[in-house]
Parts: sequence; structure tokens; C-alpha cells
Amino acid sequence: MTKIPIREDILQARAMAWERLAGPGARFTGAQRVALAGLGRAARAQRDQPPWMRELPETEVEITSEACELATTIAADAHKIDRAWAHRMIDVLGDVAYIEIVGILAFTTAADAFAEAMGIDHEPMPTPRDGKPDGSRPDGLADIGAHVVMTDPFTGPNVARALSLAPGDQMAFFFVVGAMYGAKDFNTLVWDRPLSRPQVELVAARVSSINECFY
Amino acid sequence: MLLRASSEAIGEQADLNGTIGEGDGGVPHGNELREFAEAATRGSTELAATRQALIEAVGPEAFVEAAATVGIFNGLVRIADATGIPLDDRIRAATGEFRDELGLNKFGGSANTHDSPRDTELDLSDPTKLFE
Repeated sequence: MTKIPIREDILQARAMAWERLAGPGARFTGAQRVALAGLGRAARAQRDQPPWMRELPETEVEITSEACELATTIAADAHKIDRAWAHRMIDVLGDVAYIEIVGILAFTTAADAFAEAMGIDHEPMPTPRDGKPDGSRPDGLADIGAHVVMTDPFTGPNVARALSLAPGDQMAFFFVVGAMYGAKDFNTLVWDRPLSRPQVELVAARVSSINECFY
Repeated sequence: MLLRASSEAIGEQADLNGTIGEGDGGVPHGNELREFAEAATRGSTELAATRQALIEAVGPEAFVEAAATVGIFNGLVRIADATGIPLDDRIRAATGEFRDELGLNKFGGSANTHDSPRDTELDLSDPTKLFE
């Protein structure tokens, strides 16, 4: 197959998000973040296997078993997450760490699924950058009935504020959304693009349905 | 919801059964798009064939858009499921009639959304404001 070029805006957004992933976050070091992304990648590659049958890579980085379990569950079994399980994880990890891991795995999965769809290799995991987690926690978030608090009030879809507890990861991920889905066109129903809006929405809805995602 | 609204905006009628794997969704090259999305998301052995069929149907630029949509929605669904966000109010109100019909209420994440008696009072006339 002839190699099909990837648009420059997608390449740039993806590179920026990998760069963000490789550095320290609010609760995890760059090395921990990259290791969690690698665990999720390996788990997702074995998503047809039950969790206890999956062979996951050993990591030399110190990460709690709960953080590892969260990363692999988001990558391979996100549709099975319910409120009770999420709150057990949040009780152990804290809500900021929980959301930081969600952001890491959401981006890693998006990048990997895109590569697979294109028929190209996954990008290599980035080299972690040094530095300590900054320990930050945003103020002013509210309970909107989700598993975690988030920005409120907010104009836009709930998914766009779901990572409010990890604003750096949220910004990086939604920069990628802007390139890959077209955030600037979100409120426009008629698109002048290679695919029409209904064509894109059919793909989006089918992906959501296969993942058994209600939202 | 956005499939239906955007189809109506161009004078077409979406077939929502396409979202659950039946038919072309009422959009041009819908079968090729749907089959590609399914194969890519499942990682099935059909992926190479569906990829080639889609490229031949829509061309390389549109194919990249489809692949990008597959990628980013595989990320977005993980955010939605892991954070337990409820449906946005107007989306909840506008989709009540077909969520059950399409079997979406059987998904675990449906427990995060609760219908409200106020849903009938929401203004759903402008589909571009469904997320406000």
C-alpha cells in the first residue's frame, strides 16, 4: 500500500501531546506516566483476552498496583468501570491521580488506535523527562453527578470538562481532538471537508457503540 | 444525535441503525465507513481489506479523516466511561426516544445518566446548541 500522508496539524498536535505525556504531571513523574502509557498499550493490544490472561510488561519504575490496574482497565475494559469501582480507585489514588491516569490513557489509546487505523506502526513511547510532580489541584470544581468533580458552570459537552482535575493533560488531549475531529467546526453541522459531518458522525457513533460507551 | 442533526441539516435522513452495525447510516459510502470503523476498533483481521475499500471509495484525504475519527473517539469513550459523565441535558432529552430502541440503555455507562421530568421543557430546536 502506498504510504498516505498524515495532515500536519494532526502530526503537530500528537507530538505536543507525547511531549506533555513524557514530563511530570500533578501526581506522577514523567517516567511513571510513560510506564503507565506502556502498560495501557500492552493491555489494549490484548483486549480480547480476560484481564488475568494478559501478559503485561515489567516496569522498573515504581508504580502502585492500583495505578497499574487503573491504566490497564481504562485501556482495555473502560466500559466495565462503574461508580463503585471508580470510587475504590479514587479512595486509594486520589482524584487528581485518577484523572491524570485517565488523560494519559485517553491520549495513548487515541494515538494507537489512529496508527492502527492508518496501517502504520505505533509511535515509540517518548523518553521521560526529569522533574517532580507539581502536587497541584485546581480550585473551583463541582460535583455534576460524575465520578469526579469538574469545572462548573461550563459551556460545551461534558466530555470536554471531564479532565478538569488535570488541566495540562486536558488541554493536550483536546488540542489533539481539535486536529483529529475538528473542534473548531463542532457547532457547525455542514462541513466543507473531505468527509461530511454525517459521515464523520457515523464513524464516531459506531466506534462509541462498539466500545459500549453510553455517552 | 449529531449524525441525525447533521444529516437533517443537509436535507438527508440518517439511519441510526448504522450506529449499531446495520446498514450505511444513510450517508454516502456509509457501509465502507462503518466496516472500517468496526474493523479498526476491534482490531479484526478485516482491517486491511476495509481500509483499502474505504480508500478506494472516498480517497486518501477523507480516509485520513476517518482514521483520525476512529482514533480520537477511542480516546474520548475512555474519558467518558472512566469519569462517569452523564449525558448533557439537551442530548439526554433529545435522545430518549431512540436510546432504548438502539440498545444503548443496556451499556453500563447508562447508570450515570438519569432522565429528568424537566427534559420536556428544554428547547431542542437548535441542534447547534445541544451542548449548552
